[in-house]
Amino acid sequence: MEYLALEPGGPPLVGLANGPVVEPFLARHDRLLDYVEVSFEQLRHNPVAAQLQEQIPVLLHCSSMSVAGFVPPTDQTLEAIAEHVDRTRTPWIGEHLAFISADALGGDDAVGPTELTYTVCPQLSEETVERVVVNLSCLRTRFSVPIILENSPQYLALPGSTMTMAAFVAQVAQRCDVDLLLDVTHFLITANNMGLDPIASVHELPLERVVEVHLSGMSQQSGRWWDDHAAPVPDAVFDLLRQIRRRIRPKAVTFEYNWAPSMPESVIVDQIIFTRDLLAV
Amino acid sequence: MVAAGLADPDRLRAWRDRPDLLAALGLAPATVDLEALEDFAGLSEKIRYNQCRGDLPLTFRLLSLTQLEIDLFRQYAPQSLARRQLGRVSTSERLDGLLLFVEAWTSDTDPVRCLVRDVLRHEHTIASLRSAPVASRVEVSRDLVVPRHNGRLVIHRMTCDPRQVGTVLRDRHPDLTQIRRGRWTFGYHRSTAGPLRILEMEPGIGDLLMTIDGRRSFDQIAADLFGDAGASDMLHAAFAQLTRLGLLVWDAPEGVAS
Repeated sequence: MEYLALEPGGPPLVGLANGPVVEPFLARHDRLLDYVEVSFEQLRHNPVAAQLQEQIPVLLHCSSMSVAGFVPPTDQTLEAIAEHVDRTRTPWIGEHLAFISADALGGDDAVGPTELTYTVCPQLSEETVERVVVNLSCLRTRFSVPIILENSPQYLALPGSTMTMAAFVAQVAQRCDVDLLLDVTHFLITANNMGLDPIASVHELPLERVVEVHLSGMSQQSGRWWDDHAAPVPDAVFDLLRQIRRRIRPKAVTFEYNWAPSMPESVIVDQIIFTRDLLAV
Repeated sequence: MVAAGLADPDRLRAWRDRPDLLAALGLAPATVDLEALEDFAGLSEKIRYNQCRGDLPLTFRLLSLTQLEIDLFRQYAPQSLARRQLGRVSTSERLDGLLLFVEAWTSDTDPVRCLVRDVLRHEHTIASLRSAPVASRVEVSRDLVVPRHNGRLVIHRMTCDPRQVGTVLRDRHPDLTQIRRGRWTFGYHRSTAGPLRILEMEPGIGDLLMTIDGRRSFDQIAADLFGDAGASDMLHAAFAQLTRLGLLVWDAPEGVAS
C-alpha cells in the first residue's frame, strides 16, 4: 500500500479526485501525481476503489458529516469513516462546510430526514456558526486525524443569511480553530453569484489556515455560475489562485475532474505543471 | 426548506404557484429565490446523471456548449424524481428516461433542441444496442416468406449527421457553426454476428424498413403498400438488397416449420 508522505515546508503535493479519468491518466503519467483524493462515499458504495492505494497514496474526502446541518450522521457512518481514516492513513479528512441531510419539512418525524445527493450551502448566520461549533466538537473526537472544512459554492441568497461566505468561513475557522480546504472554484462561483469582488472577498478569508486547495471547472448557465467537474479549470480560477499564492501554504492541491468520463490528458498535464510552478516555494 | 425543495421539484413548483404555502412555513415569499432554487435542483439532477456521461459524451458536451444543461435538467427533475420513486435508476433506465423527456421537450422549430435530441438519440441507440441481447439469426431458404430485421435495427430521422457533430464537438475549441444541418436518415444495426453498424440511407429505405414487423409476409407488405398492384420489381429488388446487406432475414409464415 502507498501512503501520503508530507514534507514540512515543502511544495504542495498535487493530486486528482477519483473518477473515470484517474486510471488512464495514472497509466501514462503516474509520476505527475502525488496522490488521488477518494471520497468516503466511493469507498463505502464501491469498496473496489480502495485498491487504488496499491498504486498511489490516497487522501480522504467526505460529504457525509453534514457539519453545518441539524441532522447528525449515524454512528455507523462515523465508524465507517474512521475505519477508512485508519486504513488509508490520510493526514486529514476534507469535509464540506455544508449539510447533506435535513429535518423533514414541518418537523414531520414520521417521514424521516430529507437526504440529498449533493452538499448544500447552509444559511450564513451566527446560528449556523454555533451549529458548526457544536457539530465539529463532537465529530472531531471520532477520528485520529483533523477534519478540515471546505467552502461551499453559493448559488443563491439563502433565506435568513446575515453574512458573506468569507465572513462565515472566517468565523467558523476562528470559533472552531479549524483549518480549511479552499475550493477556489467554489469561492469564485460564490463571489460571482452574490455580486462580490472575488479578490477583495478572498482576502477576508483566514488564508493562513488553508491546508488543501480544490480546483475544478465552472460554467455560466441560466444567469448564474455553477460548479462543473467535467470542465477544465478556467483561467479566472488560476488568476484568483495567483492573487493569493503569497498568503497560502497548502500542503495539497487537488484537481476535481471526477464527473468527466474523459478529459484531454494534455489539459491535465499542462494544468498540473502550471500549478506546481505557480505555488512553488 | 431548501433541502425539501431540492429533494422534491414538484414542491418547488407548488411554492411558485402558491406563495401562501411558503408563508405558512414562516417564510416571507419575497426572501426565497425560487427561480434559483429550481436551477439548483437542475444541477442536482444533472449530477445524478454523471453515471450516464460515459454513454453520452457528445450530448453532455453539446448541452454544456449551448448552456442548456441546467435548464434541461431543471425541467426534467420532476419527471426524473417520479422515475426514481419507481426504482428506475439503472444507467439504461436513466438513459431511457432522459430520451423520453427530450423527445417531448424538443420542438421541431427549435434547431438547437433538435440538435440535442438527435445527438441524444444517436448515443442512446448506440448504448442500448451495445448492451441489448440480439436474437439469433435464421438461415434463409426459399420457403421463408416473412421478412424481419436481422438482429436489432433502429431507424432515426435526423436534422444533422451525429458523426459529423461528434467531429466538431471533439475539437478542443468547438465551433458549433461548423455543424451541418439538413435531413438525414440513419439505420443503427446490430446482428448476432457483426459489430454495431451505422448506415446512412435514403428516407424511403428507412420507411420501408420501419414497415417490416416480423409478422407480415412480403406479399402482405406489398399489398399494404401498393394495394392490388402488388409487389413491384423495385420492391423485390429493394428487399433483396436489404437482405444482402444483412439487414433482413426471412422466416416461415406462422404455423409453418422452416
